[in-house]
Amino acid sequence: MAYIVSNDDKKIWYDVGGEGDPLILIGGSSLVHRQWDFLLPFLRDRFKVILYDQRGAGLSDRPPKDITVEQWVDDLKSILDEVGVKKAHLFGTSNGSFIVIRFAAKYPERTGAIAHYGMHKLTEQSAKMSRIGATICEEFGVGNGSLGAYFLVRLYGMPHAYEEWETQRFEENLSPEAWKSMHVALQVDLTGDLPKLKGPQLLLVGDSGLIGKDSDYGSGWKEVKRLCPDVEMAIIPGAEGTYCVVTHPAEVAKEVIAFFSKHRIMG
Amino acid sequence: MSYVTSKDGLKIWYDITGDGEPLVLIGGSSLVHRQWDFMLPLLQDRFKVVLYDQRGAGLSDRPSSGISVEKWVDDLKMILDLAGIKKAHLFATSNGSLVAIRFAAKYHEITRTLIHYGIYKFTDQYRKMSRIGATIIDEFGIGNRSLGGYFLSRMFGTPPLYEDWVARRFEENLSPDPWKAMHKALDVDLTKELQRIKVPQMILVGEKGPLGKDTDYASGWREFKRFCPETEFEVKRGSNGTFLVLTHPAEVAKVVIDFLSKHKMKPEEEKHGLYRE
Repeated sequence: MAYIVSNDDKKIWYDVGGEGDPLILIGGSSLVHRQWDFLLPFLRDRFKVILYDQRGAGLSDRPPKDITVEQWVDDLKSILDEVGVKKAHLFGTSNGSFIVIRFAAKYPERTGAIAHYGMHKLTEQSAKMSRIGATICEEFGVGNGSLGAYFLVRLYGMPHAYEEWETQRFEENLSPEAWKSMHVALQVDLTGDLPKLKGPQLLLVGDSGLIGKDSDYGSGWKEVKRLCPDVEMAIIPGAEGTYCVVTHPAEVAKEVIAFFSKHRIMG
Repeated sequence: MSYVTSKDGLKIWYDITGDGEPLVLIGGSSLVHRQWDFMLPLLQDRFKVVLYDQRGAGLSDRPSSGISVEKWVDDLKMILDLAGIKKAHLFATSNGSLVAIRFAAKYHEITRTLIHYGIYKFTDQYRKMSRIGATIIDEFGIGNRSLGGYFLSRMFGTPPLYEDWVARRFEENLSPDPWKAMHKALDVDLTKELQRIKVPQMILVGEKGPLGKDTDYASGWREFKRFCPETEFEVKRGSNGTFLVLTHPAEVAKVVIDFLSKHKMKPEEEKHGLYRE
């Protein structure tokens, strides 16, 4: 575990562990690297796993402004430079997908294969949920031991068995103004980046729940399939949208290990 | 099942079922009479159960204005008059408690006992949750088969197994502007009424969840213990705030039946409402 300092003077947390091809894991903007708690034990046996917390949450600085997808991508690039990784696979879930897609489009020479959830622009449902989330932050705050984190967890549809675990993570990871600022940053449309993605690509989504693959929230994969016809797709049955990495780690690990193993970075 | 028409021309739904001493059940403002689906089979064997839907939700008219605790109380009084009920037990949960408390204070000669959840005024937490609920409704609507009912169900802490069931009831029962009007109507303070309640009283709450007994939302019972020291107090372990009437019907029924058995009406009272404490 270490920090880099960004060009605009923010502390950005990262961690490198395991042996093998470099694999960057990018969580959603509220769980950040804790999104990978359950999958990490599987992936560290096979890859040099790089975790980082997007600015605005977790162990990185949480500024109330200066948060953009572009900045998240460049923070990540600075980490790769710092640790001397020339090329890495990327695996993002939830709105971490934005970062994977933008990074792969902006730095193709640094990108191996990518796996993600398909989110590349703010859908109507995710915009609505963001505004409800902002109301929760304004009413209860978050990270203050109030009910704010609990309600945010319930808003985002985490399966019940993990509700308390996620509530704890939100308490630790989030600050109200930074949360809102991250969600403003997510109001982008990266459709223009999709045709630029020429490397191997895997879409990984759960098939149930309100952020499942057939909801408006989880519908991004359709556009990815249209604009990147070679993309592979793995659907995790019975898993709720983007939470498959929490609830179904063994199944997800099997899919992504098979996929990334087909596209080795070093011999 | 039937309707009365209120003084101001609204249709108010009610239903009377079962045999025994009259027992009025008052649900929360979003589930209304469906709050009692799981308790009803247990209670209608013993009581003449009176159900009604507060104006603004369910099968009653859903106006966007003209909703107040006072109107809910008077709508209920009209139903009892129409049914010839002179004296009744009242059992309310969630914010139905406000209706029951105001009714007992205003029509004490009609009220035999009072069982409720302890909400007698809007707390800070309640207001915050109302505003989050209003945002959900602004974003998704309600009663339009979008995700509004689901998110409202989650926000109010419905236990997992009942989430979908509650979301469906919200879809059926609610309309956006009436929901907001009902929540505006609930922003009252009935502290003064507490001291006027002289009938036997029991508070029934679940111990956990965002509506559990130690949250700000459900903290009303403390004030009751202060103002009405005779109040009995039942906490259902392992049950989530006000949802205990959904999730623990048999346990709740036992406690309620025991309590009401201790406070039976006298025959003439049941018939004529003449009994005085």
